[in-house]
Parts: sequence; C-alpha cells; structure tokens
Amino acid sequence: MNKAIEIDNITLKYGNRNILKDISFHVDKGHIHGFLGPNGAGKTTTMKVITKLLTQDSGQVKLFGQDVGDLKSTFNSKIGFLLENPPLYNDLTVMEYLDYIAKIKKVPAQKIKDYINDCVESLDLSSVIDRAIENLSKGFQQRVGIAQAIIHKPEIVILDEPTNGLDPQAMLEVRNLILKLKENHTILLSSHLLHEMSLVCDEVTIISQGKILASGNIDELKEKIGHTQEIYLELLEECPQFEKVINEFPKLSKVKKVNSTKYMLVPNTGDEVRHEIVKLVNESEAQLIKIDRKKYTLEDIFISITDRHD
Amino acid sequence: MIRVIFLKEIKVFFRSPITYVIAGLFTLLVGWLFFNQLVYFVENIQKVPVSMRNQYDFANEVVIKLFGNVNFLLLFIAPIMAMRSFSEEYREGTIDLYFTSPVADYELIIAKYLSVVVQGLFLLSTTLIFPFFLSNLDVTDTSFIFTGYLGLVLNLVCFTGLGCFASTLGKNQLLAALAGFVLVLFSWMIAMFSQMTSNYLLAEILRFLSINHHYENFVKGNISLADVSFYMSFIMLNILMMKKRIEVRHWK
Repeated sequence: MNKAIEIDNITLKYGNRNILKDISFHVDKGHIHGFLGPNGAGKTTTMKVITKLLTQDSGQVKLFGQDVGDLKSTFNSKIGFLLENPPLYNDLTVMEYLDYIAKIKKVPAQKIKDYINDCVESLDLSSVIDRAIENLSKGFQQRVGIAQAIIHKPEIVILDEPTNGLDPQAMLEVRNLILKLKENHTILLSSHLLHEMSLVCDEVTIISQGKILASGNIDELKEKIGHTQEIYLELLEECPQFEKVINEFPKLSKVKKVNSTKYMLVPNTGDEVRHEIVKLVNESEAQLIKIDRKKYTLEDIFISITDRHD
Repeated sequence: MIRVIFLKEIKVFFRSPITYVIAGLFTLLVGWLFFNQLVYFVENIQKVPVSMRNQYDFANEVVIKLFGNVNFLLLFIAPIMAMRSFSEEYREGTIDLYFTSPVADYELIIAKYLSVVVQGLFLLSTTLIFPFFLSNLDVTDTSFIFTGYLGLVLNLVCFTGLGCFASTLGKNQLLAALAGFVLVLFSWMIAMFSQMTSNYLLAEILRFLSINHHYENFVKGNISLADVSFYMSFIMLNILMMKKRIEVRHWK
C-alpha cells in the first residue's frame, strides 16, 4: 500500500456555502506532500476533515487504505497534527508540556521518557527543555508545536502552515526539520508560500475556492501547464536583419521586442529551439550577449493553474 | 486520563499568581464581613438583658449569616473561576489537542469540572478559620457547621458547573463569566417566580427547582434525600449540557 492518505470526493458545506467541492487527491507513503492555495481556499478545512475535527457531508478519507471511520482507537496513534497556531500551554515548561501530551496521546508509561528524549533530540529542544513555553521565541514555540505532533510517533504528520509568521532563520530551521521528519513520517504540509513548498515537497496539490485544481509531482505539473516556456534574448546592439528573420521563424508563436536589443520569444512546442535561434543570430551577423529560457517555478504553475480556472 | 488532565489543570492553577490575588481578595472580603457581623453581634448582645442572652445565639447571628454571605459571593466567584476552563482552550486552539487525541469527551469534561471545583474548594477553605473560633466558645451543637459547609460545597459544585457550561459556549472568557453569572443567578432566583403565580402546583415546582430552597434546608441543618437528589441531578444535568455542547462539533 503506497498511499498513506486518500481523499475521495469530499464535500463539505457550512450552511449554503460550499467549502469543499468534491475534492480528491492522495498522499504517497514516505513523501512530503504540499497543499497549496490562497488564504481561505479550504486547506485547513481539508486537514481538519482528515483529522476528524470536522465531518464531511459526503466522500471518504482513508489512511493506509482504511476508512478513518473504521480506525477508531488506532486513528489517533497514526496521525499527528499541528494547527496553524501551535496548541501550547504557555504556563508549562517544555518538558511538562511534552510529558502531558505523551500522556493524553496514551503513550505507554514506560516509553514516555524515551519518546520525549527522541523528540527533544530530533527537534533540538534540549537547550529549552526546562523553560516555560511562554518565554520561548516563536521559532522554538513552533518546534514544540511540531514536537507535540510527532511525540507519539505517528506514521502521518499533518502540518498546517508551519512556517507562518517565522523570521527567515526560523523558517530555514523549520524547513530543515520537516526534511528530517521525512525519514520516518509521511507529511502533508499546507502553505501559501510557494517557494517554501518547492524546496521541501515531493508532490503538491493545488486548491482554490474549495476545488482541487491540480495534484501531482511538481515536474508533472510543469508538463501539464505546457512547454511554452519563454526565451529571453539580448543582443549587443540593434539588428534589423535579425528582427526580420526571427519574426519569420516558424517555430515561435510569439516574438515580442522588449526594447531595441532585447526580445521575448515563445516557442510553439516544448522542443528545444535555442540552438536554432543562436544559428539565426549568427547568420544575421548580430552579436549575442545572452539567451536564457525562463525556468518554471511553483509560482508559475500556481498562477497558470489558478488563472486557467478563474 | 481524568487524573492526567485534572493534575495539569491544578498545576497551572496553583502556578498562576492570579490565584493568590483572588484568594487574598476573597479572604479579605469574607474576613471583613465576619468582623462586621461580630461587632454587630457584640454591640447588640450588650443591649439584651443577661437572662435573655442565651436566646441571642452567636451561631445564628454570626456563623449562619456568614454562610449566607459566602454563598452570595459564590454567585460571582464561581463563574469567574470557571470562565477560562473551556473558553481559553477554544481561544488558544488547544481544545483540538483533545479532539485529536484518544481522550473521551466525558473525561475532558469531568477533569476540567473537577479541577474548577477543587479550585473553588481552595478558596472556600480559607473561610475555615471562622468556625475554628467557635471551638473557643461555648457552642454545643456544631452540626449546622457541617451541614452549612456541605450546602456551600454543593452550591459551589452547581455554580461552577453552570460556569463551566457557559465557558464551553465560546472563546470569550468575559462573556463566559457573564453568561455563567446569568445562569447561576437564574438558578438561584427561580423561587421568586413562584411568588408570581397563583397556581399552587407551578409555584411548588418552581420553588423546588431553585437552588436557594435546598440550600436553606442545609444551612438549617436539615438534610433530606430530596435535597441531596436535587443537587445530584443538577450536577448531572450540568455535565450532560457540557457534553452536548462539546459534541456540537460533530453536528451537521
């Protein structure tokens, strides 16, 4: 069984508002799956449905092939959840908090100490273990939040916007932690920070207005949005001869002159045409300074897909 | 599980400086009331002829009145003590910790409720010094102290139950305290409505439903099965209301 989480045709309404509209996607075992979407798209709601904090109107959620409704007592041992705001008790020290969480997650008494030690070690919390949570920096509080999600060693960890509100250094630390967690967990991670997601995720699912717009490997999604990657070209000086031949070049669907020496070119297909363009430059006796193909980022995929559905 | 949650709640309660501020203010207020009643009693007894002084009883004039005053204070203090029990969990999002853990709703409710009751008992325990004075006086029948305290404790359990239920209603602690106070006041004053109706049966029912009616019996030293049953039913109703409110998350 390679699918850790399967979401099949989930629909959820609040009153007359459709919050989730027949959404389906899956998360592969041992992968980091990004859940992307603008604020209010339905990311947190979907995560709450997976963790049974909300009940869907229709559809099915499966963990390792089993319906969550059938899992009952084993459900909570399989899943760890970090909400957007970590659920922390500020009056407790980190040690007291982790001990409390381990107890309410029903970690066997003889294993609690070992589980806490594992958690403290993997999240590097030893320096703050006896400090009150309210006195910790936001980055450390986030780590403690992640610690509560993994303390009972669940197979699946769901993290809702774990880098939200963190400074760049803390963001980097949390990102590295998430990559470290991948060794032992399947992770579903939500964010609207596309760059962050592209750095850690194996696959992504894009959601907007309660609908899944795309789901899959980032490279596959690039395929989906097509190969019409823009080519940027810069000459040393203006060359009318080149301008004439490039406008007649059949493999380009669009030629845009940005200024006297710069061009933006859009190929018809995904085939590589840069070498042919260089040949045209040489034949026109123009002098080439730069030719570059724009690389698709997750931002491009996201904007392209959301634009297509708007 | 109840024990784990209860101990954590108690730990947080006794660690908070607010606890000692509230306890200090409560003790100060009750001490001031006791002192006033004592002064009033001493002034009055001197006006009474010596032969009739045995009818002017210290227990009736000071101690029972003190019970009444403490009980009146509980109307305000119980909702304040209970206000953060669930509201704070909702506001901080920590309630989801329990909903995503193998913790049954009733375990969470009983642990929280019990911890608020114990917090109330801690406050109430500061008043024990006043009956202690009685041991130095020539008071032979002290059973009313026991029943009076029992009545106070039962009232405390009922009031904090209503306060905890109010706290389950939303994230705002102040609104929870206000809603709790309204519910407590209503349960206390319900007997007043019995005077507004000429229907005997309805008046009796309303009187029976008022906590005040049953509390008075306790203070007088009369414990009946009807009173005990009323308190037990009231506590169970509180727990049931909290459970239903917590279950709302599953309702569609």
